[in-house]
Amino acid sequence: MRSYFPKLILILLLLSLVGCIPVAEYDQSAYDQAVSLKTESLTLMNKANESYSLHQIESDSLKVKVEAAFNYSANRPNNSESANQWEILKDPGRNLLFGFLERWKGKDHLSPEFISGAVSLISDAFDTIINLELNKKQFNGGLK
Amino acid sequence: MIAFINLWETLLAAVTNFAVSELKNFPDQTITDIVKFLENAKGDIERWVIQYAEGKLTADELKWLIKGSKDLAELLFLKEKEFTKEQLNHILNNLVEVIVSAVLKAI
Repeated sequence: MRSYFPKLILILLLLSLVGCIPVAEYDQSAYDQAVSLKTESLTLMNKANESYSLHQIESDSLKVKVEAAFNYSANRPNNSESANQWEILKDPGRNLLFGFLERWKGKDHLSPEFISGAVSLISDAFDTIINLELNKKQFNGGLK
Repeated sequence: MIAFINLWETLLAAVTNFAVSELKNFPDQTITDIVKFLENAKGDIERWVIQYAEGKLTADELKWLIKGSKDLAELLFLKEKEFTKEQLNHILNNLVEVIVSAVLKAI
């Protein structure tokens, strides 16, 4: 028991240095993935004044990529906050990306004003995910 | 524009009352963050309300967008460690009700 004591003190000291909350390392691939998916999502959303059937393949492809980004995020250690953000973005029951795609599918096409409002929301949602990843770089960089 | 300013004042009053009754056990910072989020969302909500009044957005589309703001808020407030997921969902759902009710009553 006594031999563990110095290690325990060291762990406690390290935890106190990082505010006791482990934060994932910055990941360039995760950042690039989020930036690229933001562009692809907004580009597709701006076509929602056309029939969904014309863009179903793009929509399905986007959903697969967002699922992959969520899985990548969920499998990184200490990364639950980012994974939760992706989960909200891709929930079809919510009014963000997948909810928008569901509505488009249901209505066949959407009005320009509605599309513009939804683009603004989903752009902000992606920015939140991107900024969280960037903050990890600053946080972990600050410890060096 | 005057109508929107009146609406916004009504809305902020409703949100403040909501904060006093629902958020009394949460830190001041949390309430500040929610009001700050609403201030940031003000431009979008103003545009949507005007488009609704002009018949360019339906009531259903307006509600969808306001609920989208709530989902965006949830994404932003994940960092608020004072909330459980259920508490956050409850607070934001009630907040959306307050906003939608104030907007639809005012138009």
